[in-house]
Amino acid sequence: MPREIITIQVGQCGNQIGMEFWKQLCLEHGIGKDGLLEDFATQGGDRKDVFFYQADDQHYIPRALLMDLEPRVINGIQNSEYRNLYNHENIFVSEHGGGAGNNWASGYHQGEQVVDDIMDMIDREADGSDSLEGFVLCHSIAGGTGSGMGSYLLETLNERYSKKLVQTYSVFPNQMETSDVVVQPYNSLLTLKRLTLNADCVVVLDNTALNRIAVERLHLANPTFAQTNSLVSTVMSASTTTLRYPGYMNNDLVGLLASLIPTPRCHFLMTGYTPLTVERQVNMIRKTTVLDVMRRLLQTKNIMVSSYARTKEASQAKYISILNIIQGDVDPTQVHESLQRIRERKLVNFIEWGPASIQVALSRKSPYVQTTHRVSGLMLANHTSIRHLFSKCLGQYEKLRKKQAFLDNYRKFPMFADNDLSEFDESRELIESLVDEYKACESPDYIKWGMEDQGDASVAAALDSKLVV
Amino acid sequence: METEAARNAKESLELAFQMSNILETGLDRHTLSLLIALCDRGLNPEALAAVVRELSPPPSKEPISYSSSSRACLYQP
Amino acid sequence: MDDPKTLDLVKELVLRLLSTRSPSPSGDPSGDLPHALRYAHRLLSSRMSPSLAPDEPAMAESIKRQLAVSGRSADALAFADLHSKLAARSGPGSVRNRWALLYLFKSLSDDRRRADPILRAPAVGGLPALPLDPHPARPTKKALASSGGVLLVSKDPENIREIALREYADLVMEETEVSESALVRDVLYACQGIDGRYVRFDKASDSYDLPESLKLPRSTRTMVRRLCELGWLFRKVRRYITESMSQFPAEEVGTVGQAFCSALQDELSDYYKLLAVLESQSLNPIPTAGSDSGVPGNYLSLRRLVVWLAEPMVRMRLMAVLVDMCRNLRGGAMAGAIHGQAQHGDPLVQEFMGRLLRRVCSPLFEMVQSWVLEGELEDVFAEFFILSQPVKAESLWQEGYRIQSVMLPSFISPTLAQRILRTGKSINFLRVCCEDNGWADASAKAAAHVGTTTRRDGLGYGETDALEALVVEAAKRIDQHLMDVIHHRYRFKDHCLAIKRYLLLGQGDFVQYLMDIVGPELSEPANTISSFQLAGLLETAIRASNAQYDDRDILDRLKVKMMEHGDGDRGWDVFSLEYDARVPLDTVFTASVMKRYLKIFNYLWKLKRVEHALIGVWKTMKPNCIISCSFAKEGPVKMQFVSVLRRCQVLWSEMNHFVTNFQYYIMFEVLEVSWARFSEEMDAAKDLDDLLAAHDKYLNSIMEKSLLGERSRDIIKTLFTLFDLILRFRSHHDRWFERINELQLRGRGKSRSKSKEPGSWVDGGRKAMIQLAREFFRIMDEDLDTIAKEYSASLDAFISQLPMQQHVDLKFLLFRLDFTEYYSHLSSSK
Repeated sequence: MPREIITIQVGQCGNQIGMEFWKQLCLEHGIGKDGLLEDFATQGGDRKDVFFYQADDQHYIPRALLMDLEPRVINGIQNSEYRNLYNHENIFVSEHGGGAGNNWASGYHQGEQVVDDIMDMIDREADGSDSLEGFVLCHSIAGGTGSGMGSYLLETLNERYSKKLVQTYSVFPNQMETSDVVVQPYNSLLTLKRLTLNADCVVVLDNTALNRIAVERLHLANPTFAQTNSLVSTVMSASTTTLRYPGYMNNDLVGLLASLIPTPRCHFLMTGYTPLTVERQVNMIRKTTVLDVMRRLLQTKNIMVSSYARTKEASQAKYISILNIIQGDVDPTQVHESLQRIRERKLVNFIEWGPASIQVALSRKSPYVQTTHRVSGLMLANHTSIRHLFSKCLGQYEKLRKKQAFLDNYRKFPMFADNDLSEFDESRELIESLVDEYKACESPDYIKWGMEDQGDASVAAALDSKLVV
Repeated sequence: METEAARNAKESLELAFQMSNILETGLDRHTLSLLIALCDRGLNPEALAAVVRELSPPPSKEPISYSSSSRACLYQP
Repeated sequence: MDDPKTLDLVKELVLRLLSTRSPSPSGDPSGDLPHALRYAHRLLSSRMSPSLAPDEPAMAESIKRQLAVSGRSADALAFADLHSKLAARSGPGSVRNRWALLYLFKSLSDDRRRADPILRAPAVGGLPALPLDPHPARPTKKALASSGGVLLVSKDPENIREIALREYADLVMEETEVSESALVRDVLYACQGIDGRYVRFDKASDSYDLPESLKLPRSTRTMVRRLCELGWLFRKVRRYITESMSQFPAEEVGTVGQAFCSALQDELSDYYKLLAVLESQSLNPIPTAGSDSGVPGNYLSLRRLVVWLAEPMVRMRLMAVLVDMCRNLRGGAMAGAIHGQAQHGDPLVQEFMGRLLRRVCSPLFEMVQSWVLEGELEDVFAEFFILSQPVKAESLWQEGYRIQSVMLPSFISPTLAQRILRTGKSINFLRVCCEDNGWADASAKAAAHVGTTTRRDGLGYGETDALEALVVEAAKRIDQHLMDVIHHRYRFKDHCLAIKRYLLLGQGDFVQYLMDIVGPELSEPANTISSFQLAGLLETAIRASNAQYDDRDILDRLKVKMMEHGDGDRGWDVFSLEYDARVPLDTVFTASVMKRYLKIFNYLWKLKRVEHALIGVWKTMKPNCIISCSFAKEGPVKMQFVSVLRRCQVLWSEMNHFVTNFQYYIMFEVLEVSWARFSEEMDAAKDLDDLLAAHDKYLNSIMEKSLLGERSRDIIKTLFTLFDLILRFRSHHDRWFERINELQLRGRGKSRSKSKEPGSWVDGGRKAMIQLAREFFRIMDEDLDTIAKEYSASLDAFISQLPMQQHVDLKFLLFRLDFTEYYSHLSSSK
């Protein structure tokens, strides 16, 4: 009876990274493209049942739900060599197939329309689990379906499965280039609100940083989506290794996240990975030690979130928590030494309002995947510098909002009907306060933050008036 | 019975005498019979041999090689 | 002897013998009769029993062989024929004591024959009789011949006659005057432990001495006394032998003792030989000044005797010393004591001791060999330095055999002894515990390799190097074999890993699931819990986790154990897992070892329980629960709620930091590091002792580093206080959130129903509810305050106790807990 995790992939981006993720899991567990266990995969010591279940005919089937409002990507999956891997009942494509037109409101509204169908699928999958741990949502926050429908799903899941964990892998748009999606600041902001309120943990995958890594680290001139998605799938699979290869600690998602997220709102994690390769194409051959891995993981160039801050502000940034998952042939006695070096050289700044440390999980590596590097590492970190990403989103939103641009597309949908744009304002307010909270975490007085500025009475009065309608 | 025993004794003596001759002990029948009787009474044959050796005339032919063991403990006060 | 019939017979025999002799120099033979008779009586009474054990066939065989050897095979056949005829006779008139007769013949025949001296010695035809009679006052002698001819004294028959006559003369001589030859003879008697005419043993002074009345020069007297020391020593040695022999086969003597006696006896026979020769020499008259009796040189004076007896004296002294020393010793102790005397510069002594020790030690070396090569303890008399004790199979290795250091002779080093002990023990362990027969090959190979066979008496004293080589070789092969059996047949490492996975909680998913399903059960009072049900839950946990893929043989050994419980104990206090190692691995995993594992399990289990409790807390206030909580959004109590909640979260975070880092420490610095070392040492272990030591080290290192050691008693108390506080925090927390949910529901219900239900209830209700919430949060804040204070006090105590702990690795724990130096800053700012 594993702690099952159901993956929900929504929209074009969500399904693309989801597909890469399942490819990677299949490789690591020795599961063939048709879901049958390969002959060589006999002694992995791995747990497949967290992410897969076995059908009556011994097929391993991902606990995955594939959803989109337009058929292109899902059709691609259904025509690929992995077409028999998924449970076809778990695939939802909107009937009219018109997509959400990069409009959050459209996606949200369509989600609302089909909620019964979708929730049926989710309930069925949840009922098939013995002790469901939670859901993982893969989506992008900039488009229409992943952001809008994803937002609606987050709210619904939060309501219906309030005891279960909800983790998301959220792809943030590339903000360096001019996007073809002009309304992405609107979409991002509205999604960010749901990520703040309705998710337990958001793993931020910043397309800007992924592109940068592809160009700078992997020397790809024009990285394709497939290539950046492969980076994402690497991160996703690495962050779940401790669940799939049980050891003394970190065997469940909740334990993993609890230590990373000590305060509820600051639940946005950034990731770093080393060594970085695309399609397991090797361009780094050297002996790796635990210290090497941990040091590289702390370097910004390996981190998959861009930090836009000026140096002064960046130097104020602090780690709330760090978990390094190190895979491969590692001598456990090296861990202490590495931690010592890192502290001596002051490579990490931690929060000052409580004790903190770098946590290290050692995990087995799949025996079925041949890599030239002996050791690889993933860092999951809760770092206050993430606020700059949100600030950037806010800034872009403000620019657009000032011009009142493209709002008509939103007014077509019930939430914004009658020119009610309060949802935008509320979202902005919430994200601003999130940014503030992250900033407060950089100070030693975080515990008292937010307590002093408002008097009880005034708030009570303000709310009294609101309550008594 | 008496005669039976006597005959038996006589024949036994004769056998013993022949053995004695083969071994060139130089004993005559009479001495032999005395010695048999004494052996039967439980006397130590070693000691008897010593007595014979000490008291009988030395053989004329060859010198006896001296047996130290038989003289090792002659004297018992 | 004394009955008239015998006396008559003797008299007749003497007469007969005298009459057959040629006219004596003294004329009338009948005149000699009384002397001759007395002489005969003396002869007869001097030897009550023959020196050979009566063995007729052996005697007959010997005679035949002798005849055959001297080329008279026809006579040999005739003799055999006659003998069988004689033997066939029975009843009155037949020869009763045929053996005696044969012996008599043989003695006479030997006398008459000029025999080859070499042929004579073994011609005795029988084994030397050991004096078994209870009064062995007279030393018994064997029919001896000169050995090697050096001491052979040849005498012409003339001489013999003279000797006989002089003896008669001496016998009749009045005891008025002491001649030197009489003294020499007396000394020779004394040297055999017999009182002579003058020299007698004086019990009072415990020595041989001459009567004061005797007129003798002082120097002569001294010389006699000095010579008689030999007699005194002889008595001592002889007494020891007889005493020991009389005890035999009672177990006090033992085989080593027997060997010692037998060796002493052989030495004595050599001594007798010499004495016999000397005695014969003593018959030669001592030339007096001016006399020329024609017997040159070959006489014995007291001075000559001193020279002759010098060497025997040294030996006898040594023997006497040994006898004294060995009086109360047995077995290995005796051999060791004798060995102690062998370290001597005098080659004579060395040679003598070497000879003696070879004899004495041969039983011991046999024992060593059969122990090392066959694992047999052939030690009826408890003489060996290895002692076996009857024990159960599981403690065979640890307690079944031990070295008895008193029995360990000093020529075997303690290291070698340990190796010997272990080798035989390994064989027995293989045989008894592992039901293995492969060791026989190993020991045969070892023996072949060293060049000896498993045949007995291969080695002896003085060959300790060879013995060591044999032992080392046997040990190497047998230990190797034992290791193979332990590792391959009994899969030692697999079981160690299984214990690590289950008892040391390495199989995280299994532990977690067990915690999930057993947890609610364990909160019940201990006496209401059915261990049967727990066993079922254990099985469920196995099937639900990756443990299901483990070997069934391993899983079958995993069991629930309920410890003794007292009043008020909860299931948590008594629940435990145990692992049934079974024979032969229970030699490593003994009851006491398993008890320590149990202790570690309980400790780790508690740690897991605390972790589990904290995760539970996080789940109830996880982001999407707490953020959507109505109190957090807005409302009159928002500030209060947010404040108390943040305090709660920060306290949780601190506790979680402690527990996770403690767990990281346990995993990396304690379990994994200890295991890595153990694994290395396990592979390097050459024998079971190494393996046991490695395992013990492993277990100790876990105990010490995880604060379970004796010296960590104080700090572990603090640690458990912290654990209890965390558990208390959990139960408080559960209550708080139950209440918060309740309040929240009421609030919601109110806002929904407010339009329908009129009147005072609504307004009053809302206010009342806000009031309730305020009051509740205030109480929660207070509770939180109490727990936080207690917690930080205990944590302070813990952190300040840490640096004082014995084990250096505990600094790693401190390092982790205070990674950001949060606590050092905190304490310095105080």
